[in-house]
Amino acid sequence: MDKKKILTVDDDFNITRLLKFKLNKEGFDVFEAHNGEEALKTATSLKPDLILLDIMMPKMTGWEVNKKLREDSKLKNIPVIMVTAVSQLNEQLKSLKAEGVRDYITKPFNFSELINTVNRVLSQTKDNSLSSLNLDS
Amino acid sequence: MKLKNDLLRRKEFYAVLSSIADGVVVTDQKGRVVHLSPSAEKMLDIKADEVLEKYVSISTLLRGIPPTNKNLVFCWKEKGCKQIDCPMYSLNNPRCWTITDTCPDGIKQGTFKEKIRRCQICKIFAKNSKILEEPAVTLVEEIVLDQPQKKIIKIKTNPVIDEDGNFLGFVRTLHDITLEREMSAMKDEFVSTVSHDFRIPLTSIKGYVDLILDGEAGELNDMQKEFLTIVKQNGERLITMINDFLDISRIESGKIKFEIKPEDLKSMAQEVINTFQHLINEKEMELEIKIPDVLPKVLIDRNRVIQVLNNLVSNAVKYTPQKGKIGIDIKNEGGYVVVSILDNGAGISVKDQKKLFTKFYRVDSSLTQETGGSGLGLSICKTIIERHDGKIWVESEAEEGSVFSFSLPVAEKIGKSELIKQGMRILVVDDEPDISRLIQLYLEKEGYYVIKAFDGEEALKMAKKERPNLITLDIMMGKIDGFEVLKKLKEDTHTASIPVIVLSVILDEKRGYQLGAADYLPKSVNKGKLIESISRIIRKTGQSGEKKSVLIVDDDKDIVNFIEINLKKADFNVLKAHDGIEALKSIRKEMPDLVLLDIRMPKMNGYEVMEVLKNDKKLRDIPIIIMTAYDLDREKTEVLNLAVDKVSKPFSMKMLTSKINETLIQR
Repeated sequence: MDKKKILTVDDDFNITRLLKFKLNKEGFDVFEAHNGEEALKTATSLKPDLILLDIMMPKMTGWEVNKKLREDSKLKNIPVIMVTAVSQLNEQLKSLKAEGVRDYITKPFNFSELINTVNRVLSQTKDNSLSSLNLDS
Repeated sequence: MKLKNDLLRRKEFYAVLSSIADGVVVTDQKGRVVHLSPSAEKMLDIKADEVLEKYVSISTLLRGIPPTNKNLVFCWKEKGCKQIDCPMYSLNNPRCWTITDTCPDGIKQGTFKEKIRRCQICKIFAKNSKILEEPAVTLVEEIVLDQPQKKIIKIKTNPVIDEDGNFLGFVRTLHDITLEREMSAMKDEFVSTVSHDFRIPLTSIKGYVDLILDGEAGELNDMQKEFLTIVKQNGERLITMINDFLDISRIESGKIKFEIKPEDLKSMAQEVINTFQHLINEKEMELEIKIPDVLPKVLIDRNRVIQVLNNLVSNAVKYTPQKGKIGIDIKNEGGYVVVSILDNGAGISVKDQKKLFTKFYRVDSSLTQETGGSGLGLSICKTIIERHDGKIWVESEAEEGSVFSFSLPVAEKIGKSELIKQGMRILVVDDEPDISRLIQLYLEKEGYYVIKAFDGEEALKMAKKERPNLITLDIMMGKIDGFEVLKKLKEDTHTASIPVIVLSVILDEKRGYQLGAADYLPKSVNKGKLIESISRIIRKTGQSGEKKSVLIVDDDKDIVNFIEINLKKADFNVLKAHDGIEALKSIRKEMPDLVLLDIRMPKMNGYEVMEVLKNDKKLRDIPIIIMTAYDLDREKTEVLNLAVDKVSKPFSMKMLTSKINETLIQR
């Protein structure tokens, strides 16, 4: 079976490198992007299986990137996991329920949390059911 | 010469008053504005000349939004309100109870005494009483002004009482806190930005250290591992601090909305214990749990209170040595559920106890040095509990251990109505208006709801009608004296159970106690002693006061029994009747607090019962709820209007009980 492709988007190079290193070890093919525009370009050429998306980025925020993804018929089925430094509070959980956003990870994260979330979202996407975010798990 | 001196001093006095930087508004005991300082003029954009010597309420001065005409007409009609302190008055149109012509047709001007009595059942009054001048309370409130420019003003209202205890009026200070609020908003913004920006570098620090510790960058020797573990732990400690910091700032600024629902503390405590069970086992600790089988629900945000429990239990586990003992103890105490977390750790010195709940305070000892923490945990707990109208405190003795407790209000106590929330109702009986008012001030400051009677006869009437939770009684009164009132109160089955505190210059305690007084206090009134006595007595007699009695009238025995069972469960005294004649007999004899009345009955039907009741002065005030399976006759609607409410069969008991409660509370 082909390796799953993951695109990590963050304006902090240290963080994309960290994610790439760890996820590579877990057997994924990992690609980096460091702003919204680059992310959309890479996504179009790469067709990744999953995108890890930072929220607070200059120029284009993660929300805007996600919106553009949904608007593109070729990209709209790619699941997104938000990686955010905003602390996990209930009211924000609600706003995370945007289309295509399947889960979130707060910075700083534990590797076990990261890998579990990535695997869960990927296995759920197999059925191609792009329903909303599963907050109970 | 003396006169000149007085004049000089008066001038000086006004000069001082006018130079205070905060706005000052003084009203006399009748509510007339007697002083409006220049800073108040400026703040409110009003000229003193426009309002001096006029009855102008503070809400008018603040350009408050009066209730709509619709509200008031409702009030006049539904509540039979004849002299509401009409919040419609404006600068040119003072209060309706002081001048007749603002009252609607057929409504006469009444006395202030009547007004108070009438208005306490009125929701509009209750809502506005804070900004109206009565009832008199010392209070602090904040008002947002749009004119002449947007401002937030903090108003402190204090009664002016002279050396002899006479009430002279109110003094209000208006303090502009707009700038403080802006600063505070900036601070919140700052905290949230900073804590966000701190997380980004911490993500890399934590991530790469974890990688190295996982051996991803090659084998580590023991010392490298040890040192990196120290880096990792302190990184995590920094993350906790940032989280706590953000948390407290968000709670304090009110940015976090609490989702308040009735919750069961028992299951929550169990959940928290489960979380810590393996830590407790690991440290070989003894855990003692004391939770009563029946525990009322509390009105809380479940996640937030779990956070508090987690914090306290975690502390108890952390600061108790190996093989120590910890405990959880939950009690129901007079309208509050009190949760205590006990440990037999090192204990906390008195000096530290005082500061324990303040931000960033950490007990200075080797133990705390080891265990880390942000110094914010307990302060977050305090903020959360206080947002729930609860209290949190600690009792501790060095070397013995500590008990951390918090209290949360019971759901039923708050849920029912605003009036009950305002606390217990106390009838103050005194023929001296000044003293009566002073007692009222004391009691309202403590959160009690006060009704007043000014002579013995009135006292007996009100005690019977209003069923207060407690009565304070003066002895030296005209017509009927206090001892006589006390005797009559205790002879009447309807009022016998209401505790009475005698307040008198006459020191005849023996007679007072013989007649059934719950306490006997000398005049002049000592505030502390009075409050202490009241809270002691009310605690003893139980929060809910006496049971209310409900008469069920229906010819269908099954229905009567069904309702009876349910009302008894809801803690009512139940009376029963199976036809109209039986019903009237029972009502005359027992004077129930409420009647549930069926319409179609043999011998005498529901309409006839109502007609008799409404034509009887003594009985006409008993509220009636009609129960019927039929569409009610059109021509009888006039009679039906005499009932306060109706339910159609089949009805749910839940709905009926809530209607009963609503009706009784409004009485």
